[in-house]
Amino acid sequence: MASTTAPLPVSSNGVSSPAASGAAVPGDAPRDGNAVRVRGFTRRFGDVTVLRDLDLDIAPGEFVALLGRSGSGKTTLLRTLAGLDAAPADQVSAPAARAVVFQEPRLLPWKRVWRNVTLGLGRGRLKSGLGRVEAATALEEVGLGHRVDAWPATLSGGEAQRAALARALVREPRLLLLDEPFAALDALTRIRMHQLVLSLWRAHRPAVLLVTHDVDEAITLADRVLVLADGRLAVEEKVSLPRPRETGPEFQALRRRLLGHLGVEQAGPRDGAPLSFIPPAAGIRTAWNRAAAVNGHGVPYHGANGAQTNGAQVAGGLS
Amino acid sequence: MSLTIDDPQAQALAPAPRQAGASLARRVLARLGNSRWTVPLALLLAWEIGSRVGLVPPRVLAAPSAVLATFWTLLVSGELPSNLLVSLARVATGLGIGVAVGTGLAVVAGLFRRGETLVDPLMQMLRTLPFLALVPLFIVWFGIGEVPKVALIALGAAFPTYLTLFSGIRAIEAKLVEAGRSFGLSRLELITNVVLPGATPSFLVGLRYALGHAWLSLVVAEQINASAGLGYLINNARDFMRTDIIVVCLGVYAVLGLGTDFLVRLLERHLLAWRPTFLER
Repeated sequence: MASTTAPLPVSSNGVSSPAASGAAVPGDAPRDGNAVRVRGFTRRFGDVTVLRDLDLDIAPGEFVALLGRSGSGKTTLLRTLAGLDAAPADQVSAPAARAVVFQEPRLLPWKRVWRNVTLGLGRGRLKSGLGRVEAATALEEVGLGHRVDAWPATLSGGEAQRAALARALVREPRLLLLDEPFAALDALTRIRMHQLVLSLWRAHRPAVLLVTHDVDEAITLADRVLVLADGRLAVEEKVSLPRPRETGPEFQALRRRLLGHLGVEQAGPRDGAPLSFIPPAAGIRTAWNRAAAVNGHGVPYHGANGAQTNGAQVAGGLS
Repeated sequence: MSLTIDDPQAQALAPAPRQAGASLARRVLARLGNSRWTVPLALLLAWEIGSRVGLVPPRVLAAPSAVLATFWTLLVSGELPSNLLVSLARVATGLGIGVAVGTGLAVVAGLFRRGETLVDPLMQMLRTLPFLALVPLFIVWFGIGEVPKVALIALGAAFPTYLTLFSGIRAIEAKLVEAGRSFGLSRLELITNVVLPGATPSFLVGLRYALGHAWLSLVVAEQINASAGLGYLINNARDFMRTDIIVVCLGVYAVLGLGTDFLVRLLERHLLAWRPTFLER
């Protein structure tokens, strides 16, 4: 769980070798100890320095959440680790077996769901026509076994994001990069997706980097929560609560600390206060709080009611 | 004629009829008033009556019945089919060349920065030229044989193909390309899996325009000293004031245009089956 900080032999470009061989037994420890290793990485766009001399290690099988305000460079870091933005190999190394789930599902609308899942796997092991079977298995795993041949346009938002998860998992990644993948989903779907991601993570044991705005989501899912500010990792919080994580004093204290680091000042009750008095901070998603609202009404979150509840909480809590 | 059109509406607006017979008549007329075929059929009827009565002399416009009879004669004699085949061959050749050239240029300009720099300005300049105005030049260059005819059709088809496909390729969502890249697609695979399927809807729109231009070019091209083809048939008929033959050929043009449009629509249904508009049907 803890990040290993053992000195590493600067494995030339650790990007290429380990996973390309396809061994990719999930959770298999890579030779160089860490799944991700970033040292002194700086990234500029014109005059703006987005990432400044950044260090980051992610252990194999570790679930890390990355918080930060809009424009703090979270996504830049994720894109770099995904190989979408070039970076010097001596500063950034990540496994070749990596997969991204973006905020939008980004399914190709002209390919059936299973073809989307096997996208780009055509050359290797799927040549022998195994593709559909593998895709169907992966889709089964995310609960989409019945939509194998569907067109993406017929999927709901949650289903599409599940398909995107299946597409990532079928690659047996050693590093799974999640770029706010649940931000566009409704509260209930988001909770289900959290459970799904956790169970998939347990089954496949990839290292996970989850970029999110949602403090509760970060605490609920991750082993370690990082806050990116001014181009550096300003804060690191280990989360040792047992899963599934319910709210409680520890959860709340952590939540308050992280929100503080994100610049959200909170008035109101101190540690140990019941949840309903903790306001959802403006601009920060609180899936967890909304879930509480749902349960409170005993009905699935329908519009005016839930919104009012939330509004009342904001009004009552923030000052 | 105006009676036929106005009546149903007048009837429909009238207060409730007193008897069952009137109600039936009213329903029939209301039906006529709602049908899209009412006006064309009425016109056709008026035309026929006008010809029979002598209001419309045959050298101005032959009666519909005469046109039908001529159509049958031309069909049976083989005159129409043989000339039609010649015209179809011209369109097919010209369209094939035009669409291929347009597609090739669009792919080059759409995918490569350098290609755009080299190709696009020229195409954008040339497209503002009414291509039919090139006929005199084409005659000077290519003479009056088959070449200028096919070249004109090709030219007419190439521009819409180029313009729509180019903008289609450029309109591909960068996010999809990026996703493809993140899942390890090579450049060629990106083109075949992401770019070209994504540009297909635009291409099909372009293909429709290209077809329209091709038929238009055919008509103009066949005015150039044709010795076979629908245009030849029309020119000949003009010399003998055979308006019936001219109308038959016009009808054939119309049917050809409709037919090819229908083919493209079939193609769309097949190629764009993934689109929500088709899925909902």
